Parts: sequence; structure tokens; C-alpha cells
Amino acid sequence: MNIDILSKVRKTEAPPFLYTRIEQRLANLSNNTMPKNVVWALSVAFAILLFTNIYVLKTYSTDPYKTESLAESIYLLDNNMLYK
Amino acid sequence: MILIVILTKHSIPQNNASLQISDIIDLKLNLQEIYNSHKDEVYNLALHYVQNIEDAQEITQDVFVAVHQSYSSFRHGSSLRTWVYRIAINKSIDFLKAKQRKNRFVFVTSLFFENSNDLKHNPIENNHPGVMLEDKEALNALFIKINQLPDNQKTALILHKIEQKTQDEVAEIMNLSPKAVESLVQRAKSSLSKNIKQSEG
Repeated sequence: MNIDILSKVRKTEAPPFLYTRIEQRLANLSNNTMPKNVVWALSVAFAILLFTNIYVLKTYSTDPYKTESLAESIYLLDNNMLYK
Repeated sequence: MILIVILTKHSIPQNNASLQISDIIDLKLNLQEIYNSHKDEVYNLALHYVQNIEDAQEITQDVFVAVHQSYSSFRHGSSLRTWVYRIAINKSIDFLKAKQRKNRFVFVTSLFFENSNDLKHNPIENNHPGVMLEDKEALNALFIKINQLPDNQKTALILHKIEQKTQDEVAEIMNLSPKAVESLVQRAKSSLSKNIKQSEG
């Protein structure tokens, strides 16, 4: 088998409908994008949610003493010994 | 912050964010111009890589969508033709890799699910329209061997032997020195002849 046979491969023309398909794909790409203001609103909402969570976690971190005193104040049992 | 970056990236058509309407019209006109002057080159190059009409059409579309998206970042450091060629080569290689991954996945799933309608072995359908009937058998066998070559050897061989480009042109497209291209073509030729000898027994 000779590699020079590769030169026998002929050139062909691109089908005429390809450009329409490309235009369609570009139109679909631009339709699928979200408006800028929606992106910013979503980002700000997410950032607020994130910072609120961090703030709550830091401020009301689980302190065993606090949990016990809270349980006592509302007469809750904080153990499983029901018949002591 | 990551979300902001991701959302912003997806929300704005890449590189077209700050473009005015006139720029967009210019881009569209440019795309049509670029398409008209390079469509056959891109389509033929894709055909040489995949040897399949439908896949070559898919790659050609990918190439011109990429050209549209990154035209504003084209720095005119190389000629437009070279730039389009580079995109076409990258898209063809990416397409083949994605297809191989898909075939591997289909093969593995078909082993575990007996009722799967997917083929256990998905042979590459070769319907290159540039291959004449009398050379079809020999060229198909040769293309099977070419498809097993490393990407850079395959690219050098396709550009030099099928596209009939000079070593300097190939070097410019592949961003290599002409010597490196020569060595790639030589290595491709020797591995091809070794493979052919092995298969012929």
C-alpha cells in the first residue's frame, strides 16, 4: 500500500445549507443567555444568603451550656433518663 | 463570588459583551465573508479527519461558531486563513476525542445491559465524498491506519499529503518549525508503513 495514494483524495464543496445552520446555532446561543440584571440580582441574593448563614453560624454557635439552660427554662429533658 | 463569575460568563455572549449593534452587524458580515472564503477548506479538512459527511458538517458548524465567538480576539498575528485552519484542526481533534469517549461509554454500558439497543461495537462509517470508488478500499484501509497515529503526526500528514500544503505552510499552521514538520511527516510515514507491513503479515 502506497501513502502517495492520499493525493488522489479529491476536494469537495461544502453543502449550501451549512451557513443557515450556523446562523441558527448562533441565534440559539444568544437566546439561551440570561439578561445581565437578572444575573446580578441572583448573585446578590446568593451572596446575602451566604453571608446571613455565616453570620448566624458564628453568632449562634452551639454552646452546650446555652443549650442546657434553654432546655431547663422550657422544662425540656436533655437526656434519655425518663424515670430518675 | 464563584457563582458571580460563572453566571457572568454564561450570561454574556463571549467576547461580544461590550459590542455595539453596529459592531454586531460588522461581525455578522465578517462571518459571512470568512465563511464564503474558507468553508470548503474547513469542510474538506474536517472530512479528512473524520471521513464522514455528517460529522464533517458538524465540525464545520462548530468552527464557524467559534470563529464568530472569538473573532474580536483575533490579533492578526497570523493570517486569517491560518487562524481558521488552527480552529478547524482543534475542533476536529476535539470532535474525534469526544466521539471516542462516547463509543467507549456505549460499549461499556452495552456489556452490562443486555437489552441495550446500543451497538456493542460502533464501526466508523466511512463515506468520504472525495474518495473515488476505485480507490475506496485502499484509502479506507489507509485512513484506518492514519486514525491510529498521534494527533500531531496525523495533522502534519493530512495537511502535507492530502491538502498538498508545503512544509512551510504546514509549519505556520501548526506553529512549528519546518524541520519539526518534516520530522513529524517522516515519523508518520514510517509508523504507517510499519503498521501496513504488520497487517499484511
